[in-house]
Amino acid sequence: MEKKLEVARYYDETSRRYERRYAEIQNKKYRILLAHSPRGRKVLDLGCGTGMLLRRIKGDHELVVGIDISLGMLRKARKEVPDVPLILADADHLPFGDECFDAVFSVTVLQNLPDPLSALREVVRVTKPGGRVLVSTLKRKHSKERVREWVKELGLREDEILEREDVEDVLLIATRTIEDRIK
Amino acid sequence: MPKRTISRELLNILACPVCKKDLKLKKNELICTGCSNRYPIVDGIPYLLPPELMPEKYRRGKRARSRR
Repeated sequence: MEKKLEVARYYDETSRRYERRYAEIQNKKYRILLAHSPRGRKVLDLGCGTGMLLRRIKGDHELVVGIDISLGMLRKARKEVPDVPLILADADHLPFGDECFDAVFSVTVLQNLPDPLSALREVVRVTKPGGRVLVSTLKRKHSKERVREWVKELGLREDEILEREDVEDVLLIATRTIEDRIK
Repeated sequence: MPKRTISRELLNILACPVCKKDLKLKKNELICTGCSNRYPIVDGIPYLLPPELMPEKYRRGKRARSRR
């Protein structure tokens, strides 16, 4: 819990300069993941930060929701995307029912979490069978092999795990299968 | 800053972060229909955190108030 509060405080403090500093590198990751995003009806952005991704996808879906543990980030996001619902929430305790979303994004978030697998279990729970899981984590924290272990553990179908020279993240594109519904 | 209401569509998919039961909207709070936990909506942002991560002034048992 202390780690989570520390992360929230850090992002509260950096929310103002975050976008200026990271827009370009984050946008590169979004482009890669968005190529695999379904034209689904409901989409979640877990760790939405200042709303950079929300701004790009809000017109493409029936409902787009952003959540973050940092209130500072959410306040900034609200100015960017005033029409997108934003929620203060924790990745290990997602405030959604089972099988709600057609796609869940979480870009450059897992490396900050004390237990990424626990958060991913929640992601899988709220994703519809057949829905897409589009996540990334910093390479320097988690290897491609580690990400593949998570995918196996969660019973997801691996569509692609990308590790590119020009991107600082490992990017995962996966699908929730029908089978893991009964797990 | 305008207050936002929570759309029905959003409310339909929201759940208690602790017990995952449905939430009902009552004034400026979301209340769990299972465990009765209360979650404030502050400046239009629902605080759907488990009690251990909830800011002190909004902890369980205390009525949520709007931030001034």
